[in-house]
Amino acid sequence: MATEKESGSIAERTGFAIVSLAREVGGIFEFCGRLAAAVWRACFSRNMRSRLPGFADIFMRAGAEAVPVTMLVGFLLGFIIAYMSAAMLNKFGAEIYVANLIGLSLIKELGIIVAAIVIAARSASAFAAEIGTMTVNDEISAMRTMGIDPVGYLVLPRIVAGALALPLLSLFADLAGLVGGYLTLAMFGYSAKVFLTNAFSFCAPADLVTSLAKGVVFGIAISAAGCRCGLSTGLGADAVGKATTKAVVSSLVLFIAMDGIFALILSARGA
Amino acid sequence: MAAEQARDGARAFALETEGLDTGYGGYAVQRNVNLKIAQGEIFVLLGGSGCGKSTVMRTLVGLQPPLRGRVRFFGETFVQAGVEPDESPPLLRRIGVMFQNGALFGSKTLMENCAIPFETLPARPQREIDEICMEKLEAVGLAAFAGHYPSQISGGMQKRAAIARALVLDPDILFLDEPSAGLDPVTSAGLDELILEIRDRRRMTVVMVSHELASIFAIADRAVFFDRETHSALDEGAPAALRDGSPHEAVRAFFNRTPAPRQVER
Repeated sequence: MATEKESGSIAERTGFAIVSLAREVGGIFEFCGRLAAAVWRACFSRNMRSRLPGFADIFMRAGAEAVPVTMLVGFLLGFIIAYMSAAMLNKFGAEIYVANLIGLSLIKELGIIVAAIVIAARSASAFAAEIGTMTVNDEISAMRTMGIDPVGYLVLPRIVAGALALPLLSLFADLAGLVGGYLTLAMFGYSAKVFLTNAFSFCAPADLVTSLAKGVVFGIAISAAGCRCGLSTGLGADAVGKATTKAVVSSLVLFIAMDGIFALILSARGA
Repeated sequence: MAAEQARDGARAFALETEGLDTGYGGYAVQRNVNLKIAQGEIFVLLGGSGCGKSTVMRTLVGLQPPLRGRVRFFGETFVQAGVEPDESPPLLRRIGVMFQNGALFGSKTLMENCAIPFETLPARPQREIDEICMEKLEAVGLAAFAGHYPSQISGGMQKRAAIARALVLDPDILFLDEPSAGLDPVTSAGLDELILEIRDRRRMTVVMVSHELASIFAIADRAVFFDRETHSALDEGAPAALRDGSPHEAVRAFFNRTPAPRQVER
């Protein structure tokens, strides 16, 4: 049987798409407003237990448990980039510049991207699935009848956990990527000291600070996207699956778009 | 009981609705619902599947904004059509809600589930919270399972745990969504006794959605029958009076379990 969405003329379908888009945008604004109110309430809450409930557990799952996979991906990325670059630069006797390339790219960009992908794949999906299942099981409704704001109770701790976990994970990705890069240059007979001197020669402390700041913003955006998809889950088990898929896709697109905006702003400022 | 309270005049009804239309996206599933439920009354929302009684219940507890009309608890407006509801109105602390599937948090033990409503209150010593939660779990016969997770107990026990959570702040009105659904007759009868005991002990008002005729006759003081065809409340009164004397065929058919004529789907 054709659904309302599939049937009808092109004009009807276009109208339906526009209304859906408008609802989605409205939903995003409403979510942001509720989030801002939840932040405000958390800052002035007299009940410490209700400020960030379950934060420690969420942070452990989003951050600490993601360290191995982040380091593995970071290591492989550093190794592969270094190996491919060294194979090319070796023809010109310039393989030592691989260290500069690895250091600069990891600290300024790749470490954060690896951490963001890991958080989007592991945590945004988990947030959407957890909150989506709670929505389907009426747990969110139960919360509302108890006077508990689901955004403050469920979303805020997850966003804070994401905002802290992502920059920390990016440091682990940087470290593992540097080890991977060094292993490649070690094959060409360079020492660790030479590698590290070159790796950090093009980087300033401000680059690391900027990168970590980007990590905080991406962490907030990715966690928020995951939680919102969970809260807007429809009815039924398949709705949770759809919410999870939407969370991963939207958080990936969101952080890459934001990274592009950051790149434009930073290059305009000469950073 | 409602009549006695109406004669009393001085006291407001525990729950009152005025010209309530409820539904989704502008489509009213029930129109012009006018209920007056007295304190200490067990009141049942009845009707065939899909008639909108659960939607009415969701509107009464503030989860579904009314399309028209208002809901009052003890004379104070709780929700009103066209008025943005408060996130956490003080009146919410006077109600407890049990959802059909229990809606217990799977990641928390029964004790932790019961402690959730305290999140909205100023901080209290954990020991005090634990004592209150244990008292409620004892009242529903689940004290021995306080450390269990919802997945480790049966469906009937989950419903009782959900009632314990709904009771934890000593509400004045308890809403129960199909408490006996999916339970065997013995467990269902036990739950009926528990609901009567809770009402008698605290003179609590109980509003429940139910299909279980045995439960309805055992505990309900009054009931309202919602009709799917006319989108309205057809009749209201004591269950036995509705069964024997309702002028509406649909109401008598419901109580006498008379099958509706088969309709051909088009």
